[in-house]
Amino acid sequence: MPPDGELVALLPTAPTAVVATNLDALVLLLLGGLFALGMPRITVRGRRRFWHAWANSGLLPLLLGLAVGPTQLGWISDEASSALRPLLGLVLAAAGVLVGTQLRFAYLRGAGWGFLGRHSGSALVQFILVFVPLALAASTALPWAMALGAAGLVSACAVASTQRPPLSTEDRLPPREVVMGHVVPCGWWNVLALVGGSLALSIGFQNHELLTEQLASPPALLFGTPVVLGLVCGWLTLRAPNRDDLYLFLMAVLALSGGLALAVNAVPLFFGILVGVVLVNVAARRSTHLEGVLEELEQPLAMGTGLLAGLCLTHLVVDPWVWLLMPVLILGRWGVRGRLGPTSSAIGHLRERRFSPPGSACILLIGAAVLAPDPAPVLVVPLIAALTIATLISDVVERRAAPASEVVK
Amino acid sequence: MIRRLLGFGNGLMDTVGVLLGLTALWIYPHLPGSDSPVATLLFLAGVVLVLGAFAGHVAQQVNLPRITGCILVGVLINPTLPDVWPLLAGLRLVDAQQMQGLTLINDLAIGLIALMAGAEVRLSWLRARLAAILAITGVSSLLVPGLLMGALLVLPYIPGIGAIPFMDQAVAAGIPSWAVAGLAGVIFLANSPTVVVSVIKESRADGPMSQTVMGVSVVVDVLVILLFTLLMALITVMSDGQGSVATAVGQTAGSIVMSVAVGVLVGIGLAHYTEQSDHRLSWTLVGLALAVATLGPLIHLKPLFCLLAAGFACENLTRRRTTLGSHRLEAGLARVANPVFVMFFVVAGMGLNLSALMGTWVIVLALSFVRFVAVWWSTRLGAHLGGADPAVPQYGWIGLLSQAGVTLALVPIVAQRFPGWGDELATIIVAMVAVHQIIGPAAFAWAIRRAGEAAPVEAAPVRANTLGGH
Repeated sequence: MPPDGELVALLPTAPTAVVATNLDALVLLLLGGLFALGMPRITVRGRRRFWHAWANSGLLPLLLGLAVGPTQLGWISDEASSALRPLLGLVLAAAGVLVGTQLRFAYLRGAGWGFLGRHSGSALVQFILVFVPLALAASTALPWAMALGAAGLVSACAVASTQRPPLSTEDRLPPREVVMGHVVPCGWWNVLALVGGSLALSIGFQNHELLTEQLASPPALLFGTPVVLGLVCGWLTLRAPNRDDLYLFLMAVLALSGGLALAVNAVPLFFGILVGVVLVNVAARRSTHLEGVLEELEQPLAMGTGLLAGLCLTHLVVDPWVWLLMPVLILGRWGVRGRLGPTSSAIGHLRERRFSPPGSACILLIGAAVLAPDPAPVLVVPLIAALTIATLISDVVERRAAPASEVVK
Repeated sequence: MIRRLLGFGNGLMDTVGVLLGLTALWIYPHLPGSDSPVATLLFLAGVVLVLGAFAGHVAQQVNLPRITGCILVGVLINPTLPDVWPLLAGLRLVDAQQMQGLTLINDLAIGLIALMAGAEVRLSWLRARLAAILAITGVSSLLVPGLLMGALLVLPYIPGIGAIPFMDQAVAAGIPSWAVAGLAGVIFLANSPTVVVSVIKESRADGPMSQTVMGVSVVVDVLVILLFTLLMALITVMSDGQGSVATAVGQTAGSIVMSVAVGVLVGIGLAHYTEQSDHRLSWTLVGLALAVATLGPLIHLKPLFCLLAAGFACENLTRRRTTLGSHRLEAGLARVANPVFVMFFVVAGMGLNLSALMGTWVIVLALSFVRFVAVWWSTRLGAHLGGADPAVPQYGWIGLLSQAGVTLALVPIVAQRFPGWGDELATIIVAMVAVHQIIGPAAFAWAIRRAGEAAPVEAAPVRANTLGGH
């Protein structure tokens, strides 16, 4: 058995940690403390507070991680940053499982095919409008598969949207209208965006050299493994005799999703989504319990993904052409959202709907890009810049539209 | 009859679950990215959870604690098992290198268990049992190392046992035999608060015996660390004249004081958190334990003491602690206890050095026997001196038999500092831990039942009793 950690520094001759390692430890502990202490304040209170959307979506932790990470202040060493990558993989796979469990066939049937078709069509149009020019631009600098992957990822970020309704309308409309007019459509758009973006990354950036030696064909592994895992885990979930065991099996699902995703060279996020879809539909009887357990993970995962993605980014070298992504993304979001945006016209003004903030789905996609092989990480910085600008604008616009009494600084 | 058949069905399905986990382990190396340490760590963590959960259920079917099921399934996939049993040579499902990645699981488990143990201790019952705890600790700290020292010096003269390798090598290196035997005796004194807390949680035990054993196991480990530091420094000075005993002890004591101080601060923060809300509390606790356990040592914090102090301070040292706050913390810890215990004990089973056990089994069994006697005698004597409840001298010693965390943390320090005899000593200690780890949890669970401190059976659902359940 490996030695326990508690006594590593017991004796004077115990490995003397180098200064950088001490600093890593201290910074990570402080960040963890900040994260833990901030959690109840951010998630329970202050829906109307200024930093709420930034923190809740994971963008603020992402910027914080980026600031103290190896690329900026360097308070975290490259070694520590690499050591955090497994954790990012696990968090992304877990987030994927969470997204996948939203795709319950029973719910989809309940929502109505017309509703789904209309919103899926809108999402696809917005996706294609950003995807096609980007793919053409990127193909001049990258191999075609990677160009498609990059375009897919950025387009998914253009589609993804926060599920919280605009501040000005939250209390004005009946809850059902808010849910059906904004929350559900945005959730559906996000699922499509996350599936599209992570699929694009899976196909575009996977390491083909490794896959030539395997026994099964790459698609069989990429799609077969999560499906089999989802089936087995669905069975496990059905076998769980109580909530504690359900919790245990879900932990196992999350860890297995992360590990197997990396072992078959898939993007953890995409892999997790497939596992989640199969699992929730196999274990439909336990879906209510599953939902209860998984709901607890939602915000910590978004914030954790942001923080870890920032800390794990090891280089900021960006080719000039990649900066073109930023205006394309902002214009893509702004240009089509007013007409195609998922919110119903009763919710918010056109201006608010057009500037709807990106939300945590984009942070998950950025996290997936950080973990993907080169050159995917070069997309990250322009994406962060674009999303920061988009969030800032949306926050300002939303606050100007909301009644002054409802805004808390 | 129907219940029996249903029980058989459950056992069968649980066995199918174990087989599924083993099959996954067999298939994994054939995946293209299986050489990635990251992937392997995550995959193993998942499989360990599944295997442990099902093996725990199977153990329950035969009236054993779930912990024992977890340890045994860990032994089944132990990397050294094929060395012991050549028939299994083709079925090495996990190799020693992969095991190293699982240290993280150990660290997390130790951290959470320390937090849990600290939060379990209440000043009210601690005051009532303090005399017994201190008396048992005091007598044990004299008798256990003393008897084992004597055994190490005498055993070579008993026919059929022969020379003890590390003693001879140490004497040849110029170190007095009493010093080496004393060091070994101090390591044998350590027990396992992890096992004690997890068995108490699983049995939902509450009573003087379990409370006293929990207190003794924690205090003894603190003492072991101090004595170990003292002896290591002494032997270093004797062997090569380097270092200073006072400096080594001072540094260790300073580190413990700092850890406790930080722990108290963390505990006060945690009390504030739990009084306000239980929102995402389980995840916050996991993050806290993981952060302190993995990063604490880098800034000279000792996670065990830091988190013990945090749990204790949270429940006992804040003025306005309400029942609601305590309940929130307890529920938050209980939620994550099950996966953490399962992982910890499966990994413990995987880490047992079975080949070392086979190579030194005569000495190991002899020393284990002496330790059993020493622990039994010292607990009885200490309990009588401290005026403990009658159940403590009768059954309490069984809870102090297990060894795991602290013992296994001390072993590499000896091996690293004194190559040669240190390695030999480490081999024997690790082999002894294998024996104590397999016997200890089941025996303590039995002792709790015999002492009448386990929760009534009818209060627990048929298959719902979990390692951390309440």
